[in-house]
Amino acid sequence: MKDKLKEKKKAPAIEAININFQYNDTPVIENVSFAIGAGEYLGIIGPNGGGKTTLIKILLGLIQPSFGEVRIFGTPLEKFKNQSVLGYVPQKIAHGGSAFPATVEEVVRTGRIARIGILKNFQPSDDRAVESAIKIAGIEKLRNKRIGQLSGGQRQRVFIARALAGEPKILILDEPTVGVDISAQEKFYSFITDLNKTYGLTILFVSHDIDVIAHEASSVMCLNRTLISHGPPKSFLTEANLKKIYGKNVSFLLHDH
Amino acid sequence: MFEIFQYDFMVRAFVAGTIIGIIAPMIGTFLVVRRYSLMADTLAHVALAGIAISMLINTPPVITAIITSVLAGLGIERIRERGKIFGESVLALFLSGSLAISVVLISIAQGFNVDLFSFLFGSITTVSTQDITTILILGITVFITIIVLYKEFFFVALDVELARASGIKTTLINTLLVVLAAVTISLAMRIVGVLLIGALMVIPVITAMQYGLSFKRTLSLAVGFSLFSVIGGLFSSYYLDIASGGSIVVLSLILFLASMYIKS
Repeated sequence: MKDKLKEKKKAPAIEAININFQYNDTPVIENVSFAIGAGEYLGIIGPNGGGKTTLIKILLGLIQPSFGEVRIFGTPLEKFKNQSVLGYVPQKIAHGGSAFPATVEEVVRTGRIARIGILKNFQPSDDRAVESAIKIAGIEKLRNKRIGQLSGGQRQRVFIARALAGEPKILILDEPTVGVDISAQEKFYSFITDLNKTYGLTILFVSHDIDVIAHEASSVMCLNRTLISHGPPKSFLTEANLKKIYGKNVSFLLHDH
Repeated sequence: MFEIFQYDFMVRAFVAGTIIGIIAPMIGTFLVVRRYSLMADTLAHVALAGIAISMLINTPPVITAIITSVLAGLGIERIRERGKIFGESVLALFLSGSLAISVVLISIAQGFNVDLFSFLFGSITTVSTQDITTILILGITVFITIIVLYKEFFFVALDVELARASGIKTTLINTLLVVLAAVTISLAMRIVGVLLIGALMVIPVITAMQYGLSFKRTLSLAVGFSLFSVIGGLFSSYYLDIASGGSIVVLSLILFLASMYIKS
């Protein structure tokens, strides 16, 4: 029994075993296996249509893989009831357009819903978690603004706060910097690194920005239908690897490291 | 001014109007923010087909309308989920289709008369004691359901996928919203009328949205605007002899225009 417990403790935060996904008989993801240890920072890159978002959706349980299994801290995803362990930061919110009448605080509070459960109300402990998430994300001044009034960078912080409010162990971010200006992007990346280092959050960051993710992440995985490579950033950033993914003219992607 | 409450039918109209004035914009808020405003009108037309059926086979009209529109609401959700037809087209199909069916059935039942007119545009004199019981029981049920599941309804309205990733049974919440909308519309038919109930579910909500408030406050303000329109509309209907649906919706339109002017 003790051994079993130990084993569970050592289990990776996320383990994907031989994931396959087909859409109308077209393979989108083939034989993808990987593991992220607790406290790791994994960057996922790859071309558009390479299956990144599909993989994220499978990890979140939003779609079922055609074949293969996902385990969260050793438990198969379909048996995993504690949804709040996974904090999800989407690229945008479906109805988050300018007219949607919701304040920043109301959006952040939805991050608690997975923990609270249906037919139950917010308790003081939930309010405290929301407050602390708002503080960590540094959006105290925005709390009563409508989400439609925010800049791209501010909105990203709100989505992060929303995910943090659920007190997750794993943070999954799907290209969250699309449409965010450069200076806000830099702040955003260092904020995520800080969450990883200070709070020990496991990070899974899907990005199109190879350069930055190679600097910040502890390992980088490249996905183009199959797993092209997975390892520390240095071993990944070889010209041969990048050519495999993005084609011949990759030199402009590479800066001095 | 208050001599109108001497009449039992006016008391019934005010009781029914108050309940409808509260629940219509509550459901309406969730429909509007999900770009689903036309759902209200569509279900109202289906409810009219229910009325036609009740004329033909002599069943209680409100109950028949509820059953018909709930079934149609579930059908609409099914067809939308299959994803082969645009959601908006499905609404158009049900809206005009059920109107056609209504016309045919009403012709067969030879029901083109005053009673039909009151179902189309609302009437303060037609709320029966039996209607009041139905409106009270179902209206309070709708109200409590929205309050109890408020956070789920809000989350699903904000982003379905995010809600699903948080373990919310989004299909159930969507279906429930449509069922509650169908019930609300059928209950509101007597007072507001089939052709105007959509307006009472939408106009107070878009009026409240002008004020830049939180979701909860927008919803509360919409209820306030709606209640004002319903109560004011019932008074004008009585004193000016106007079909109540018309006076209610015109009042809500005035509030909308005034709010737009103030906020521009």
